Formats: sequence, C-alpha cells, structure tokens
Amino acid sequence: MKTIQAKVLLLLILVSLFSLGTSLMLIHQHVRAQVKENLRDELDARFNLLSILMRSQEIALKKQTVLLAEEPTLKMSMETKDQRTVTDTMGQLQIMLQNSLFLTTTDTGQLLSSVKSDHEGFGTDKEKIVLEALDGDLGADFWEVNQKLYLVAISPVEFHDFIQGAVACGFELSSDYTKFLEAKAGVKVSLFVEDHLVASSWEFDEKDRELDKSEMFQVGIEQWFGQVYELELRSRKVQFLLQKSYSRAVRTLDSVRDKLAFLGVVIFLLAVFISVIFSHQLTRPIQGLTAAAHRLSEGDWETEVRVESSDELGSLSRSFESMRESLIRQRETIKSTEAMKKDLELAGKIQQSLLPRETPQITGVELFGKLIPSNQIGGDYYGYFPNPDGTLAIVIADVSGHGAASALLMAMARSTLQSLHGMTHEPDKLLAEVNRILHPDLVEAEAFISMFALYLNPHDRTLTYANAGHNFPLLFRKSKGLLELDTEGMLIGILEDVEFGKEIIEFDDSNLLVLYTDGLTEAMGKEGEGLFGEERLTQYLDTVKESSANQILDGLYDKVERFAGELAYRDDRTCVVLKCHFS
Amino acid sequence: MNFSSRVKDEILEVVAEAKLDASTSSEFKQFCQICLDAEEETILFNLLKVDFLDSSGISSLVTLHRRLKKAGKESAIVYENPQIEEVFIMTKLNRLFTLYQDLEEAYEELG
Repeated sequence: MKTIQAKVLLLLILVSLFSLGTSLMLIHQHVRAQVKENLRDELDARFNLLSILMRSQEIALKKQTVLLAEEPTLKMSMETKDQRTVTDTMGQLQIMLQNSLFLTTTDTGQLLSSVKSDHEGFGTDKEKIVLEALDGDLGADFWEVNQKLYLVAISPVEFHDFIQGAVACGFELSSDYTKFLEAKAGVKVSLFVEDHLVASSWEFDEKDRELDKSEMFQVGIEQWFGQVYELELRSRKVQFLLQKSYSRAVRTLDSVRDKLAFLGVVIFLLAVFISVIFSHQLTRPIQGLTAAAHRLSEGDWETEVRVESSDELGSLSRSFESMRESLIRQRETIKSTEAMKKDLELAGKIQQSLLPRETPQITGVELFGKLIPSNQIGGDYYGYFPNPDGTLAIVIADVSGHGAASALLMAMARSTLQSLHGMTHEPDKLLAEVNRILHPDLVEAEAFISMFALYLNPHDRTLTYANAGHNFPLLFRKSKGLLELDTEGMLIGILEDVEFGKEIIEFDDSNLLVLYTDGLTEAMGKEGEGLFGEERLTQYLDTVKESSANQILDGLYDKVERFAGELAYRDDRTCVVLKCHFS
Repeated sequence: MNFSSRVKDEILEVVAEAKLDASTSSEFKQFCQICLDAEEETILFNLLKVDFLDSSGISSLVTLHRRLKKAGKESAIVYENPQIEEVFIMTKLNRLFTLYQDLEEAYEELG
C-alpha cells in the first residue's frame, strides 16, 4: 500500500517539477528575447520625444534671434561698426536672454563681437554665417566650437534697408543639457559628432568610437543597451546615443521569473502536501481493509470494519463488512453443521447397534443382512428374533422418508418389536399389534411403515409370514420356482385397526429367500435407463441362486451400485438373504 | 414439477405431472393446501400423467387423504401407470384410496 502511495506521489512530484521547470524555462527564454525589442521600442519613443523637444527649442531660439536682430541699439551699433558698443549691447542682452552664445559679424564677415565663447574659434565660420544670413536662411545649426557643440540660430541685422551684418545666438549642448534631456526622457543621452563624444548625461567615457546602429555596452558590471539616432541641421549631423540599462530590465524580468518560480514552488509544495494528505485519506481506508482482511486470515473475526465514506471505498468497506458478517454466519453454520454431522455419525452408530449384532446359527440356514443408509442414519430396519425353541423370527421394515425423523420412528418400531418378541409366534398378530401400538405416533408424524414379518421353523420346514405393505420378498424354491410373498394387510400407521392375512409355506430342499427395501429396486439408472426394478432383481437372483447367501448379498449391492452410480445413495438400501438347505 | 388445479362439476381436480417422489412430494403437499381451503367437498388427484410414485409420493397421498378426511372431504385418485398400480397393490393402499383409471368414470362416480 505504501509502495503504491509512494509511487503515485513520486510520479506526481516528477510531473509537477517537469511542468514547472519547462514553464519557467519557456518564460525565461521568451522574456529574454523580448527585452531587447522592448528596449529598442522604448528608446525609439524616447528619441521622438527628444527630437520634438529640440525642435521646439530650435524654434524658440530662432524667434529669439530674430527679435535680437530687430533690437535698435544693436542695429545702430552695428552700423557704426563700433566693436565696443556692440559687445556691451550683446553683453546686456545675453544677461537678459540667458543664452550662452552671441556673436555678430559685419556684412563682410568681420567678427564684431562674441560673448562668452572663444571668438578665435569662429574664424572659419564667420563668412558662412554672414552669407547664410544674407541669403535670408534663418535656419538653425549645430556648431562645434572648441570641441563644444552648440545649437545656433542666425538672423541678419538690417538698418536703413541695408544688411549691416548678422547675429548668431545659441547655447551649448553641454553635459548639463544632456542631463536636462535625460531628466525629460528618462534615458541616458550622449551626443556625438562624427563618432566623437561631445557631451553625455553620465560618465560615459568611450569618447571616440564608431557607433553602430544599436549595440550593447559594458559599463562596470552592468550591461547597457544603446541605440543611435541622427539629427541633421544644415551643416552638421549630430548623433544621439540613447542608452538604457539592459541589466536592470533583465533583473526586473528575472525578479518576475524568480517570483513566478517561488510561487510555482510554493504551489508545488502545497500540491505535494495536499496530495500526501489526500493519498493518506485515500489509502487509510484501504489500509484499514487490508488490516481487516489480515485479521480475518489470522482468525480475528470480531473486529468491525467501518469506513465512513459515501464514495466507492465506503461502499467497498460496507461490502467487506457484510462479507465479514456473512463469513461469521457461515462459520457458525459450518460449526453447527459439523456438530450436526457428528451427532448424525453418533446416531448412525447407535442405529447400526440396533441392527442384529450376530446372526443366529441354525443348521442348514445361511443368513446375511445388510443395511446402507442414504445418510448416516436412515429409516430402514431389519432384525432377527431367535426363539428358544429353535424357531426364528425375521422382520424387515421401511419407514416412509429417510433421515433423522425416519430413524427415530424406526427406533420406536424396533423397540416395539423387541418388546413384543416372544409374545406371539404368529406374524399377522405381530404386525397387527405393532400397528396398534405405533398408529397414533405415525399419524402424528404423518408417516407410515411398510413391514414384513416371518417365522422360520426349521423343525417342520415351514415359513409363516405376513406383509404390511412391504415390497414382496422373493422366494425361490428348487421345485416350485419363484414366489412373491404377499398377504392381506395394510401399511403400518394408516388405519387404526388392521387385520393381517397370514400364509404358511413349506420349504423345498433348497430355498432362497430375499427380503429387501425399495431403496434397491427404486435405484435410478445413472444412464437414464429408469429404475433398477424388480425384474432386474429377479433376473439377477435367478442367475446366482446357487451361490452362497453372502455372495448373493454382496453381488446384489455391487450390481445396484454399478447400475445407479451415485444415484444409488439417495435412499436407504436394505437386503436380507436367507438360504435353507434341508436334506 | 408442474401442478395445476381446476374445478369441474363441483369437483376440485389437482393435476400432477411426471413423478411423485422425494424431490416433488413436499411441493405437491404444499400445493394441495388449496384442496383444504377450497369450497369443493370432493377432491380428485389426477395422476394420469405421473409415471413414477415412490414411498415419499405415497406418504404425501396418505397425508392428504388423512387431512381431507379429517376436514370432512372426500378424495379420489385417478391414475394409469402400471408402476403406480403395483405400488398401490403392494402397499395395500388400494384398500384405503378410492382409485380410478379413467377420468370420465371418476367424474361420473364422484358426481
């Protein structure tokens, strides 16, 4: 039982672990593949935000520059080309406008003023600025000045319908600016110009590197996913490297995975726990039944089997309990049957003792009797009653039915015969007396007895007999052939008062007399050939009448048993064989 | 074993078939309880289809005869089989029972 439970549990655990492991692995793989995609999408969105932000800043810068170019003080000072005045004006305006870069040029490209920046750096650009301004293109631009990047707007300065020069206004795309962008977009921002780092919102130190469209960066122990975007303004192309922590995204997912795994393990342990409880509950009744079966086999019949359950196990237990009760009943029945069998055996022995223990020795007379009851006891009877004068009374009887009731009636009949022994030598009177005595009891028992009584007188070689409804005994006399012995009368126990007839037969030199009960003639043929019958009996006796009485008797029983097989045992079989030789 | 009964000319006829022996006699006796319960005063046991009668069968017939007599009823047996004839002669019950070998004759006599 425990083995089955353990096997089921082990199987359950293996299946659960396999499912859990597979699920987690699939989730893990799927999620890893999604991380980069998600980061890429997020960086795309962030860049869209940043480009809108920069575009609005660019527009604001342009407007500011146009306003600056309209400033009369600036216009006038530019007309005079008075560098000092221009610088002063610019300085004031710069304080007012808080932009980081101002420079002005004349219409010939001569630098008039620059604020904050190292104006030396503008040398190469001044002509371009003016030309662009003269062309009326007021676009913005990225300027790289002294390895610093600026977003710049340019506007021409007109005075008296003449272009006096141009003014440029912008601010540095410094690390502060990238930090501002990072704060707005939530991603690390680094700016590159031609693969050269100019500003970064964090300590990104790969200053010169060729940028791929997207790649992974190892920073310390962290991995970062970066995506490069380009923004082009007139003369320059600026590369934006936006980065977001790959490690953190993975960590977040890993923590989700770990939580899932933890939850899975908890559910799994809970399932195992519940399974153990459940399987225990499932197997406990089975164990109970097994133990009960074991107890039964050990001989303990008294312990009840009770499993209170409405399921199949409960039903099994109830069946088992009813089987146990039935077994107990059967055991009681077997016990009582055995006791009854013993009683019957004893009764059978007692009944056998009621039969003649020894055969009277009479000169010239061979006498053998045999009674085989269908059960241990039966309703047949035969008896010898020798008289002191050398005569012999023989009685054969058959109580209706067979078994215990018949046996008791047979014992009564035998006692009656014993008590009447010696009181009369006339068989008809004997039977009438027996009938008178037994009639009330036989009526009460709804039974009757067939009985045949004879008196053998070896002195005058006569046989006197009377028949109370018994099978006709058969007498073979050498000179006179077969005679069936019948007289007037009635079965014992039918009528209260019966007068029996009496016959006297004279013996021949050689005589064979056979008395029998219907158990022999009514034995059924085992092959369906009907009853053994009187004809077969007569034929048999005719062929063996020269044999000894003993041989005739045994031969008859053999013949009947061969004829009827098992069916021969259905009724009591009794036979008495008498042979008289007179010389 | 089949038993049946019918009433004709105020006679209750009980019909038995096959055999009356140890295996059927108690059932026969039980079935014949209707004879005691019936209104009819005359009972005819029809054994025309019975081909074997042993001491158990005899016993049941004797018992029924006694019971019916005690209840003030008349009973008779109609049979045909020679084996039954032999049994009646041997047991001398031909002296006790009213016996017929023909059904019509039985009805005529009893009616």
